[in-house]
Amino acid sequence: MRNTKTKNTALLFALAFVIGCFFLLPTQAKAATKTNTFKYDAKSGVLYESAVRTSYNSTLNHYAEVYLPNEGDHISAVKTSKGLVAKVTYSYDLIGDRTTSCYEYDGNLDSDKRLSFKSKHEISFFAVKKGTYTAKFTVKNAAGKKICTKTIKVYAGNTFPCEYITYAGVKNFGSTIITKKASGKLKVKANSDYKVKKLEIATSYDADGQLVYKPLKNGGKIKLAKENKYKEFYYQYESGDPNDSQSYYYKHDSYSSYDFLKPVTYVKVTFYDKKLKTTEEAVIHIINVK
Amino acid sequence: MKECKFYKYMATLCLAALLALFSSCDAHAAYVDDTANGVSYNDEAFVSSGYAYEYSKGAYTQTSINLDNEGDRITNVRVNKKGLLAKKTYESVSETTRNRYDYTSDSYKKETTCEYSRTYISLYGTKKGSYIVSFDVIDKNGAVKCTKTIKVKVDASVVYKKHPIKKITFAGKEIYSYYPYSTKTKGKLTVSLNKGYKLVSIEIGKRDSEGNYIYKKTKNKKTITLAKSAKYFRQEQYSNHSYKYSYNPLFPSTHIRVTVKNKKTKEVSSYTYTLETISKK
Repeated sequence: MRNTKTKNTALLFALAFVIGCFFLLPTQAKAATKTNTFKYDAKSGVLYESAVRTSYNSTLNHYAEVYLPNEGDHISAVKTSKGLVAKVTYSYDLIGDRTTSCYEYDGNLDSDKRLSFKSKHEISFFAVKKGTYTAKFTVKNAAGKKICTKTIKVYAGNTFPCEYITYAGVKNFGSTIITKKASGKLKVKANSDYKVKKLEIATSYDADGQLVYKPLKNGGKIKLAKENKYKEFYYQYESGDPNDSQSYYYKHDSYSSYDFLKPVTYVKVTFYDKKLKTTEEAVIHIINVK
Repeated sequence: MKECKFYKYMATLCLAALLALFSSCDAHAAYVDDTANGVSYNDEAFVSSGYAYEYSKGAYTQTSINLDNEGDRITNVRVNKKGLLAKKTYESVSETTRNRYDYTSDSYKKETTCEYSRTYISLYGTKKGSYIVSFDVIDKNGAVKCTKTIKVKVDASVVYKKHPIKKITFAGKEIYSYYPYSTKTKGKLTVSLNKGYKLVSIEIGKRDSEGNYIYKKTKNKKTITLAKSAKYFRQEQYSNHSYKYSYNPLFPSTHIRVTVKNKKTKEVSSYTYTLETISKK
């Protein structure tokens, strides 16, 4: 889902800023379950987001993506239920030679089903009040002939799944916690329409410099990381056998060694969106400043 | 009479020499490039209130050190007194291990060489003051080649400057009050400044057909018109295909760029404000 993605990106930027102060931001693993609401209509060749969230009474750009298969295909009209404003705010068209200008989009469909499109469109939303709305869009071809009409469900309300996080008895809003307590109970409270599905904690790294996540119970007691010391390789090459004294051996390593000024503990939360029926991940950073 | 002039002349000369000496001292305190040991770094660091200050009553910065010689590393980072934390937090290394033919034993022997290293020392200050951070440069056998020092000044106080712009209103209301967007598209724009600043210009920026903001000058207390729609296009043309990007934002924005001059320092600075309207079609 794109709109929460935007939020998450903003969040990650805010995090990057704080963590940047203590050096680094780890890469996030992708969730295995459904993470978006894309629907593919094989008959018309139209791929679109069937449900999205939008904030209310705000000019933040929340939109649904629509992909169309043929040159000249376009969204001719967007009709909405009362209280919702919607229109096509962005179009990206590929004209001419298909082989060079073909747009591929996986859309979380079966990985073997690679789809090609000739245009991408964004339908943006605005609602003053919280609520559930619908937007219907009509697709026409280059000759002006109607191809199909599709419906997008629009939920105006919370666009971020987490309401607050309690650590060692202190309520925190936002996803960076600065604390002087080395251990304590951690509880994640989800916003309405969201559910905490899974919690994982990482306080150590593997040999490749990747965080090692372990399951965690919501409300359970945790011990924060004492240090963040790891090596991350960005180039490795090896040929020959190092134990064979009769042949040539060559190994090259380029790496970065990290040792944080203040230890950071990572808590990965998987939220379930009850409205969109999707899951999304957020990473909480707990920085021990003692 | 003549003598007096002479003394004046000598005094001026001495003063000039002193000034030259001081200014050369200032110029020296910065980037050190010790080619004999292959170490280059800044011998001064300034830690002022950072983002972390609000949370943990401290300030943060980092300084980098480059090492040119193979196998050299930085160790033993230390501070002369409490109130500043200094730690080697990052090191980027390129390392090669290979067999080298040894004629005496008639076989290959393993050898490791380091080709490049860059180290970061993180500095976290909790108490105002001047500190000295020292570190050792060791060679591939672990022997100390040299010890270097960095003067660190911690200033954890937050200095809020008074914003040059005291108030900016559109159609009688402060710009910030138009939330989430302005339903008015026309109105008088009034800018008032804080003491010590002079208004240089007010410009209104709207998107042209290619999406670039085009700024036009206006005067204080004059009526301005906001953008009601902001359709724009971009096209990339190639020999047998092209890409077309069409934009039609729901909330067209109008930029208001106010340029002011600090009467004392003569410094000129610009501040851009944004007003949005809604475009439903």
